[in-house]
Amino acid sequence: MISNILILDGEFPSDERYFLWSHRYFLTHKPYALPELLKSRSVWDYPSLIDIYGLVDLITHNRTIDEIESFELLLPAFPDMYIRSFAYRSLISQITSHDLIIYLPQLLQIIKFDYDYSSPIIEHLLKESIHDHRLAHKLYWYLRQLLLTENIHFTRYYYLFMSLLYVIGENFRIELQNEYDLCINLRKIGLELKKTKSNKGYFLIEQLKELNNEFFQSSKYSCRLPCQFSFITNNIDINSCSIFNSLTLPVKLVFNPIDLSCEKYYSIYKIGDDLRVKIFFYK
Amino acid sequence: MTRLMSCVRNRYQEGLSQIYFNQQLSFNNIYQCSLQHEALILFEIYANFIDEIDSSLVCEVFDGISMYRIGWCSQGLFNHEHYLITGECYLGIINAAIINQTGFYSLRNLSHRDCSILTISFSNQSLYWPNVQARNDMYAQNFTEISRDKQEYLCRIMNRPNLLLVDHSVMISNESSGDNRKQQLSTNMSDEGLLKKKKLSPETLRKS
Repeated sequence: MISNILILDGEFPSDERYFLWSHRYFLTHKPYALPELLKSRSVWDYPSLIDIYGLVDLITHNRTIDEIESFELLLPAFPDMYIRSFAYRSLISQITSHDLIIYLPQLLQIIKFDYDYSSPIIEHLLKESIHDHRLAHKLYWYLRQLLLTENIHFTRYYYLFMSLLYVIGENFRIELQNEYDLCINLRKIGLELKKTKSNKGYFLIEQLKELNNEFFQSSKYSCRLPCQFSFITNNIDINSCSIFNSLTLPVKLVFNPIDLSCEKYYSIYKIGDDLRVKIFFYK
Repeated sequence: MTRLMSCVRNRYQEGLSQIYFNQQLSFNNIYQCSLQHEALILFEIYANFIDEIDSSLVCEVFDGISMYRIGWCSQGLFNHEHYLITGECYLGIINAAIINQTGFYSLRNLSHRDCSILTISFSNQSLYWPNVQARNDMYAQNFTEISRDKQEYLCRIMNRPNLLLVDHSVMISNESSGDNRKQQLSTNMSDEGLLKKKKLSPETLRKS
């Protein structure tokens, strides 16, 4: 694998570069050839782009760029926004909305390499989020975490986050805010649990009772889980919750479903994580 | 694509090994017409220390004095309307001890109130990056039309192991891990977006 990384990072020798580019018209039908051909270009000034973009258009007319080739064109080795926009459009045309959710972590990392804040994938994500609340939910929580961890790219993610809140509509925005509030409440309980010197088990039960009464308003109020879009809960099964004997005091949390015919949701909550990050299912 | 980097970095001004604050900087070897639309300018801030030195800082020797890279900042040269940026810019300096240098833009990342700022004045001359009209007179040719030797040579170059494609083939061979395949696609991205790079201080980028 290391040798492969070195090959990827290295450039073609100049004779190979010239040879590849001079035979570009013979390679238009070859799958995965486009990234190699573009890597063989060392000059990307204005006059060269006329030729480079012409080749991209020619390849588009002759074959389909699959998601693997698209992703390669989105690596930082290709900063040109025409190429990246082309790759994004190819990717969008290839993947389903289900795939989009799977690829979301990669896409949110890849946008760092875009010169502009706006790109076809940003527009697509926002458009899809309007009617696909499952996607909007995932995107919201990924962005929430990125806003905590990113420094250099904070503003980029912040703009996307604000755009998402703007497009999803007020009702769903409130719903997401409620999920966030649930996390804040759990975090508060976790922090106080660490501080308390009295009986921690008893303290946890009292805190969760308070959460059920005040946040869930005695089961009158429901909320989705940040880690599971399809699970809606209106209270915590306090008797099933417990504390693990560990330095970080992870808490076993069991959420009751709003639909009693469904199974309960078992999870472990640990301070420093949101519910999405470290959830384990008990079987 | 990153060819401009070494040119700018090594030959920005004859006879000078470093640039101080409040100097004008001109790139004699770079022409506006040769700039890539996604070109960046990156500044590294160096300092020397009298007292204790953070051992994690990158050290370089300038004029016999050990200097340590304490920060960096970068800026795209063209704005979203495809104009070369002009006038005064305020670049938020990123602590080199905490965050590795990248080729990305710090101008719009002044998210901390106590962020140190490098002020740069760019030339006020307007330059627009025109839309590129791609050639449409190209035609695909059949691979078998070229000689066997050339075909083999091209295949050798093209089939050289490539990180993404290797990962792809490995992952799709394991049909049960289809979702893992998708999750692992871009885990090996490195920061190569840097196009232009420069050392030190506030200067003016002037067209040559």
